[in-house]
Amino acid sequence: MNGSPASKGIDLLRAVPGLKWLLTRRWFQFAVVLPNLAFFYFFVIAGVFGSPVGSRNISIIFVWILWWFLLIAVMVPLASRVWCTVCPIPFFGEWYQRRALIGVRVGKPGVGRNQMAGFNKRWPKALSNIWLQNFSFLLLCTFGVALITRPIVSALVFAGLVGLATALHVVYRQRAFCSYVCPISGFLSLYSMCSFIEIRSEDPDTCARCTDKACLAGGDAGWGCPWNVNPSKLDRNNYCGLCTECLKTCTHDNMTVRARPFCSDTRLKGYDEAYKAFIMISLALAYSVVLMGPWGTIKDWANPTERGRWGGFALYASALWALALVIVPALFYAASRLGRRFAGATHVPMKEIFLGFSGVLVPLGLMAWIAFSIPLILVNGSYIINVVSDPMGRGWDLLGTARFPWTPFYPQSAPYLQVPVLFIGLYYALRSGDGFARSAFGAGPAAAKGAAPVAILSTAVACGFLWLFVG
Amino acid sequence: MISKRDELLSGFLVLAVLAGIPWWVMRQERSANAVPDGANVHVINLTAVADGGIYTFEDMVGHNYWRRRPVVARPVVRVGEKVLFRLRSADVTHGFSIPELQVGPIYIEPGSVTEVRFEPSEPGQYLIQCTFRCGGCHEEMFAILEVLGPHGEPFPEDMRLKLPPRVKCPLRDC
Repeated sequence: MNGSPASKGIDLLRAVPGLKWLLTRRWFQFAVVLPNLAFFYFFVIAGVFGSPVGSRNISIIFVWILWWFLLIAVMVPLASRVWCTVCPIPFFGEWYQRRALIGVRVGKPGVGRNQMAGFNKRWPKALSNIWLQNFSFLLLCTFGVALITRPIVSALVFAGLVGLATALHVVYRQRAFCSYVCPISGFLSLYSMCSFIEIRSEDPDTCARCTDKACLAGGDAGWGCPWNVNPSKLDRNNYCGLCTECLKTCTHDNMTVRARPFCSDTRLKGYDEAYKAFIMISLALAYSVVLMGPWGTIKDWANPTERGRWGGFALYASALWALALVIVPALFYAASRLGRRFAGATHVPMKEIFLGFSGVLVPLGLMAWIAFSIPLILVNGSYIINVVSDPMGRGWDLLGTARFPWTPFYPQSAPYLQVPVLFIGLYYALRSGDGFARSAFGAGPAAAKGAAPVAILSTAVACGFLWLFVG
Repeated sequence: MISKRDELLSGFLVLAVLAGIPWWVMRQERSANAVPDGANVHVINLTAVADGGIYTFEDMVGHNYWRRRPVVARPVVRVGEKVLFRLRSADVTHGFSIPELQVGPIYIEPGSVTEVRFEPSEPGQYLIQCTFRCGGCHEEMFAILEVLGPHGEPFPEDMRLKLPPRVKCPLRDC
């Protein structure tokens, strides 16, 4: 079920002419990050010095309408964590650590064979998971409505993330910020499991024989994996940031980029990952209610900066945290336990069953987020035409489209797109649950009985989204 | 391995981005605010703010809009002067009108600059008012335009305007 070093797919480095040459250039990552850094920097400036009106500020429209849609509906499904390849947030920290933007340093002090500046401390073992990312993302999303409507809030969060990333790069080795702290990285890691592409070793035996381990330890040709994973043993997409360093460092030319079937990785490996899935599905549900539902009071509660209803906000925040951290996990635990009982497999540890079945929320959650994002881009997409011409809402007119009227783009078509997207998510969720049940309970009626409660719960969740989206 | 030339070039590109973008923003801002006949015109920048229902001289942008309530503007011009109001909204659609001078009513949309030109001929105080329901403070969203004589002489006392007291949205800063 999981992608593995031996799994088959289309070797994109062979199939796409020039791709291997491009990805193995040392300047490749710098070349893709720099334009993104320019945009990001401009978004911060626009948030601070531009119009306070969200719909007239590029930092809101480009990030929370355009980027979000491209990220969740295009980048993650098609290209895994390609956002991490181009992300400008760790740029300054990494520049400090490496004291190079393109080249590679070898020697001491440092990590592996690479010379690196900073304290190079190891990240605390107790925090070597995605719990911090879970809580930071949930916290950020609790204030999400203010974040996605107030340019200054977005700008402060962007600048704060860059500052935090830089500070952590100074203290800790490699990309500790990206691996363990970044709130965006957490959900990218989860949903990259569904992606159509993966970086894996071409031949596991070559890796097994390799004594050099340049992909991990670095070398003359590149940096050791900045995400501190062993690329030769990659069997899931979760913690591979697609930085392409392993393609450059491998002395056996044994790392490659492969196209593969959708949702090839299905297993969650820890409670932190399972909780990420619970948090994401809960947030999709909450945002669908707040941003698309007809309930004005809840909308007011979710955005205390609008009317200052802090009491209502406390209620909203409590409900959101309870849903994400207690109610949804409890429902899945109960369904998993029931499944174990129905399958007559009480000898299988509950942790294994719970984590195994939690995997169904990965495709379902991803597709629910895509479905949620479709009307956002259809209804608000025309603001993009305004803000490219007047990015700061200051009365500029760079392209002559600053006064383009707000024009929803076929909003009536949204349900026709949302429903199939949700059904695709449900199909892959059921398939994932069935696959796990077969592996845990054996093929036959036991697997079907074991998978049934989680299948019913997943279907109920999908129906809940359907009701919210199409009424 | 490190190539000094590559690192210098890439470092220069980063610096170019960090310095170039603010420079470009300031340049755009200057050109957007340029008034063709600026030397002969008294330009008054006003921003309408729904929270508190006020017009202000202050430029309300991301970093200051949420921190404090701006000071209410009291524009002063002279008889015979060419006046250009450059109007912005910090939040929602507002209106602008000086009924006694037949200026407006016009809409002020957020994210754009609306310009109004006029030439006052009589000294006095004139009521500026919002003509588009912009929020809870709309009914009290007034300001006063003072028109002095051609050489700055004060206007006659009987032309002094008295605004109704603010009940719903009292002013804090003036």
